[in-house]
Amino acid sequence: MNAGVPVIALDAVDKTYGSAQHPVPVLRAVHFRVMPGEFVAIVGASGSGKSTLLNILGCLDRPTRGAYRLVGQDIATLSDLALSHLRKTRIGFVFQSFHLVQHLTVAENVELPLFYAKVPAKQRRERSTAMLQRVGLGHRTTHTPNQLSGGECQRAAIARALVNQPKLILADEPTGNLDSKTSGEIMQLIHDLHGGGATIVMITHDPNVAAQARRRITLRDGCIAGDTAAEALAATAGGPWSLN
Amino acid sequence: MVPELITEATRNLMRHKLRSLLTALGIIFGIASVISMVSTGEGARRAILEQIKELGTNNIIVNAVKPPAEQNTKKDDGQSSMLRYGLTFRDLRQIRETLPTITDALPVHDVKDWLWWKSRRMEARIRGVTPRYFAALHLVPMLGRTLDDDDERSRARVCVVRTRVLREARYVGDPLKLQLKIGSQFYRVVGVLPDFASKNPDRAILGIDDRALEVYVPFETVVDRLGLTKGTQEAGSYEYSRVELHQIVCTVDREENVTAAARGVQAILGTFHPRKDYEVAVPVELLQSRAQAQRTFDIVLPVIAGIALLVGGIGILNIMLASVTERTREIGIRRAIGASQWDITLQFLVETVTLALVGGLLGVLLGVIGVYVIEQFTEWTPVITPGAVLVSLGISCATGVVFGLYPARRAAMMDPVRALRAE
Repeated sequence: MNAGVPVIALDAVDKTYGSAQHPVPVLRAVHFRVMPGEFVAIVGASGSGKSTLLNILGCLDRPTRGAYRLVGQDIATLSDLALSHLRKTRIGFVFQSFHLVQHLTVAENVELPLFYAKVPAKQRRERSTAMLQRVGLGHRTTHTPNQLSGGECQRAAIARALVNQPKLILADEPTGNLDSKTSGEIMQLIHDLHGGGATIVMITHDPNVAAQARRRITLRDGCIAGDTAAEALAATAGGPWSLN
Repeated sequence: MVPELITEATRNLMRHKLRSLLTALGIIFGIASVISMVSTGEGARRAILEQIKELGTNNIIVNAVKPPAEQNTKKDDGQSSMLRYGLTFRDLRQIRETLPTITDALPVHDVKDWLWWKSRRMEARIRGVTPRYFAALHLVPMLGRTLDDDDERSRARVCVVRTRVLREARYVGDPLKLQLKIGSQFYRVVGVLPDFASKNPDRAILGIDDRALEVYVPFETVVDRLGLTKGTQEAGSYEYSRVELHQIVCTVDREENVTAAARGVQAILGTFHPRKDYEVAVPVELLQSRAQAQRTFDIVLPVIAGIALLVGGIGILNIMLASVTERTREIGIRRAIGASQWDITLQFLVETVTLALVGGLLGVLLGVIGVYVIEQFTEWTPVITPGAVLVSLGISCATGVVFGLYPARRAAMMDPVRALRAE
């Protein structure tokens, strides 16, 4: 399962906001690898740099220093077009506030990544319908997001994240806006995905949700304060996942 | 991809119908004014061409002009109250003999006299013309024939009338069986000419009166039976005037020789008419001066259109910038799921161009309506050319691209992370 190229390879990544005179460091020397099929939870207090890290992992932002390789590809040298291409083919985003386009129907929202990937309309429709059925929203395709409950919105968002069959699912507090029952359903869905072989990186500050992941990376003030997998593996093999 | 973007853009625009309409208003009125101006201009241009062709572009028309009153008394010599002015047979002969490019010079003698049909009396303008006159001025009878050489030789009492004469006489029946009384003698109608199609300001210059009831009679008949001297009663005194010829219509062999020939005619007449009791009118030159005026219009038009479209374009720019700000989050979402900067640019650009193009279409529609309104108030018929419509749509498309580019680039250049966080 851990064989091959790591999906995520971060090497001493720094991210600094603000001006040159008043730099605000957000991430400092973040260094870890995620192998295909892993389910990683990133935990930490708010302001610890979780979202910034996720944006970098999702190719929405670039590290100030250090290297990020997504499935072996260094993103530092890539143009906006190439990054966009990575986002639509390799990465699926799930957000806390769902981020569905309000004036498009559920099906159209799910089709959007396929549209940017230039998939023909007929195939788009087939794939989005199949994906919506898989998340249990087959009966809601023509509704707009504001006609849906929070749980349904998140299912639609997950369907959208999955429709391009990405290598990596990035979830930013997917259950943060949901009650505990729907939260459980969404987590079940994520577990199903993981069971299906997807690599998942999930931000959360809910300890119950974090506990469901195989591996937990804890961020504190922009630094990695703990990584369960690294600790375990370092203990067994002393492999490449050692902390710096 | 683009057709789907157009569908999407249309949906977006339809979500804010009023706003879209108000945004497109500038373009709508800009294009409407362009269409109506171009069509009216084109109509005017064609009307002028038509009108001047009617007068014959190969012709030079010389008219007799009555000199001002004070000059007449001086020439009076105190012995006779006879006023002599106008063109003479000698002028006609000289023009014919000295100017080689003039192939034909035709005399015209006008008499204002009463025209009777039964008890109806009308003041008519009796024009004594030679047979070739009709061909030179492209007058084609709608009924019967024009005058011929036999009429001329036999000084026949026949005439060709304008339909206006028949209407004025309230005559119903076969016009060719009509006998009209001019002066004290009856003339048989042998042909009917159509009325002037539309008002032509140039006709007055060329000595043609639109409103006159024109009756054409063989030249020799007029000279013989009605005479060259005319008496009029004016303010209690009786006044005689003698005019040999009222008009000479000269036909030039080729159009490019017309101007030179006109100078020649002027030189000849200048020698014998120190009082300047004549004027030389050249339809071709009128055509050229009209074309000149038209060119001015052609320069002013794009300037007006440009200003209108600039205003329309700025309206679009303004609203699209607002729309981009409003849709920041949507842009962020689209970027996150894989839209490139170019995808976003294209999306907004297509939306702007769609708006501009729909505005352009509505503008064309409004312009066509405007054209029909204008038609009611002008004497010429506006002509809507497909070229004008296509150019208008092209211009509105270009306006959309030019003024949509900046908002679209601005949307594309947004930082996706910040765009996602926007409310």
